[in-house]
Amino acid sequence: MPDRFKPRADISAKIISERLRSPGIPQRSEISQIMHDIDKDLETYNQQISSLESQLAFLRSQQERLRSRKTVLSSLLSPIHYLPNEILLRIFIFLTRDTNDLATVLPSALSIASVCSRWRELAISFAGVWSSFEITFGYPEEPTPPLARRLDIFLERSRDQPLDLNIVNPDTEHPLLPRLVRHSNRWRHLTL
Amino acid sequence: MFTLLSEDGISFQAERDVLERSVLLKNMLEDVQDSSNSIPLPNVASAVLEKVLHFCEHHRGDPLPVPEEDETRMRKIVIEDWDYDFISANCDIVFEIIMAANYLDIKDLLDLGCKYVASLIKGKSTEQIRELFHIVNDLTPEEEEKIKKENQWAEAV
Repeated sequence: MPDRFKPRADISAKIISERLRSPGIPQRSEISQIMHDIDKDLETYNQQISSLESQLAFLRSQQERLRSRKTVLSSLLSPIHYLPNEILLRIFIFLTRDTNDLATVLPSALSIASVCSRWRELAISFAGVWSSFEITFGYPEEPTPPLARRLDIFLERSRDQPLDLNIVNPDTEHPLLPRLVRHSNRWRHLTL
Repeated sequence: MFTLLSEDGISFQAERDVLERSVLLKNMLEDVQDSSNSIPLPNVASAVLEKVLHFCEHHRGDPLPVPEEDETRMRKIVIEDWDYDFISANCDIVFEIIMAANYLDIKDLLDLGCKYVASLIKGKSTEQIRELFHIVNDLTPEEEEKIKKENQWAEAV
């Protein structure tokens, strides 16, 4: 906090009133001097207000930063953080065995691998999360079709794990079929 | 009747066939002939133990799941109505129930809890999952960029 300063100009309401009601001619030099002092006082007030405003802004930003750190820290109290990896993986397996459709906006495996670093690391490290999926043929093919890219991600991350596949709209001419056939030695369950 | 002692010092009584839903307790009871001593469970709070015993009581006499990990069995698990009502009614302590089921080795309760949590995640966006479980996004900008490319779909189709 800046020190409280003492104004140079002594201009109480009473003094002003006396000057206004004075019967004589006002002393220009004296008034000018008071006006000059007032200008200096106003300038000092401006400086002090600016200083306080920047201190206030600094304190508010510190407060906001502390609040956001508290939020981050309190999230660690959430019970899901206390689940051991093997249980979290069990949840992932139940989820991806139930639904893992490559032709949705975000298949379950990709979704859980996008939540946080722990989930991502776990999901990618465990081939079983990627080894059971549904693929729908019939999307328009493009030079680098997104379905093909997704299929490659799943085939790569499932490593040598047996595959449980559900092919919707099976089409023997579909350009993605050879990709799947290359991994036919891993097919465990195939639903058409 | 045997007496269990929760971590917060509350006693619960249950019969042998109820407790034997837990592999841990089953093994412990094999060595215990005298039921006068209580069995301490330092990792399970009374509020959770009460629910766990309720579950075991309901399923007493059911065939026990095979102990070895079996993905085919996991795929076939269907949540029965009673189980769904049980776990939904206790959704505020579902993670504590899962941890207790894991500690006590009660496979069907562990699967029920895990499958229930999986059902909560199902169909949710990444952001919704974070909100649901109070998970902070701690991914680096590089990881975010990689994920963005991996997840690219809507705009490409």
